[in-house]
Amino acid sequence: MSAATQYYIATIVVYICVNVIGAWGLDLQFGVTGVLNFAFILFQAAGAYTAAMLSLGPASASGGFQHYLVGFKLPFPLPLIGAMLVGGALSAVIGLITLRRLRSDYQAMVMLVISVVATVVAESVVGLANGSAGLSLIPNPAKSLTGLTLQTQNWLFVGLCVALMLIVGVLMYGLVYSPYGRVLRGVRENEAAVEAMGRSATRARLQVFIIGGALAALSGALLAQFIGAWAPSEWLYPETFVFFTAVIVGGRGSISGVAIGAALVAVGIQQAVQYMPIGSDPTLLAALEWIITGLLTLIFLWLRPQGLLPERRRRYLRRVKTGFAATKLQESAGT
Amino acid sequence: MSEQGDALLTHVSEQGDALLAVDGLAKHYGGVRAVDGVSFEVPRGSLTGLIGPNGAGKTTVLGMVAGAIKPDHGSILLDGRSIAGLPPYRAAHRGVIRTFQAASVFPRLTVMENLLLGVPPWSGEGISASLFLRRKWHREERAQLMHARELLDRLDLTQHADSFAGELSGGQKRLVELGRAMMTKPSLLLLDEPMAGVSRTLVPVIEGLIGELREEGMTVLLVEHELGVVERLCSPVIVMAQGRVLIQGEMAECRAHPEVRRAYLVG
Repeated sequence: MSAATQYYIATIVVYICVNVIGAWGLDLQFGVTGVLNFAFILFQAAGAYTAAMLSLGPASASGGFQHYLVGFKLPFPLPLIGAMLVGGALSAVIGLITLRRLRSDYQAMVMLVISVVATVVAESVVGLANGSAGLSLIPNPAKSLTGLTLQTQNWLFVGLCVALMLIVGVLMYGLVYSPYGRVLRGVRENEAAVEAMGRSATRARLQVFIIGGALAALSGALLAQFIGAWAPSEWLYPETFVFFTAVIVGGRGSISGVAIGAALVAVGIQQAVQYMPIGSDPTLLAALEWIITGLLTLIFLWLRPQGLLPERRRRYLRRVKTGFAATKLQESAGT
Repeated sequence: MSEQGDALLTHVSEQGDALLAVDGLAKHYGGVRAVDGVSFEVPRGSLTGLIGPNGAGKTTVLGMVAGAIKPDHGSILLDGRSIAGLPPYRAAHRGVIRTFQAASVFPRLTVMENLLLGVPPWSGEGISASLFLRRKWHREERAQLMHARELLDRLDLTQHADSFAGELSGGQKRLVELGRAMMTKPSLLLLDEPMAGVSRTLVPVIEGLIGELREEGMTVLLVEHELGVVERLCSPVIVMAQGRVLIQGEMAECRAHPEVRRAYLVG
């Protein structure tokens, strides 16, 4: 395989992993619990910036060509962990403000506004994260390993992304397929009833807001380390809707479905557009991506709202039937 | 409140030990006095009826007891401890469980899952348990499943255990809602017009079920429109009109009361 092909495949895999991790974060919030987090991309950005600031070293060391806060040169995996902590903490702050008192449709509006305001702030306050130019030369942890070829380093990073995606996937299954997940789905289905049954819907929302925010941050951190750069143009508010489309197309509340949705929507559309016989005008291609993304959302909401792989129905009838027999056996064996 | 009403009220409270004592409860919406100084008691182990014409404030009273509506004035004591102004989930922790006027299930959860959410909050449903203690909650859940299974048999819903609650008929949804409330083993069950939206064949089933709960000694406060049901099931009965309690007593006494007749005719 040529180096270019290898790089191409590695890039695709990294993008799939990053987007699947992010889409799972949103699925936990929106698909499972019903929180309309229209500021989702903000938490991905927070993770990307944090990972950058925790690995770039002090801003003065760069000869002043870019300005940013903090500036540490921490070894792997601390920048990733720091990114998740910051993403979770930022979620906690925003969640505490928005999720407690507002009705869910207003929560969504406030989130959208926060996302837009954050972009404006990041662009205009240059000292924060180098303004609209963004940060560059963000170190890739695999590239700090000496004595390896560029390709090996690349594949190492791919391996890291795949491993993290699998870990997050296992955690998602744990959270969703459990009594905890049942409470979360209860919040989505009927807030008043879940409260009447003794569970605080606000608390559940806040929890998934924080976990989802940390996952968004992790995806952002990996992306920034892979690209090596991160700027406000990466996280304009419409990017949030790429994740929403991934969740809706894949199947709200379905873990494997959303993984497929993320691969299709966040990576597949962009790749497909490249091969369409419409020339190579980048503006046209980008516009087409947005059109397809939007159309997919509409088509799925109209024709297949449950998504490609719908949320699995939890079946218990057989279990309680055989369960009775098993318990009786155990009892007779035990005595 | 009429003098006769006051007299009856003292009579009842002297007689029984009250699980729920509501005093001077009020809720105003702008200029509208939805509930205007309501006092009554629900004796322990009783099936108390709360009746009155439309707009009498019955559901608002229920909502305040359940914590869904914050009262402007007044006290709500459960077993002598105040629950006024608690959020609904905290009221539920104290054992105050309600059903809703429009059957309120979790539509995209199965019937079994609807019942499982009736289990009072337990250690197995935390984040850490979901990730690290799967074996433990799995074991505990089995006992819950058995209990739910028995309840489903009793409600004649076993064959629907794996159906989404949203796929059921109105009456069956009501049964699911009642089953979910029974799973909680409430100390005070608040039922808001449980016959509303239920097909005629299921009305006697639900009536029978509520009667059984009374026999089992559960304390129930039943808001109902249909006087026949209340007459058959409830004792005592509280009659409300225009945000106030007209009278509390036995159904026969209430029926004879001139103000009750007027309220029902006018309302």
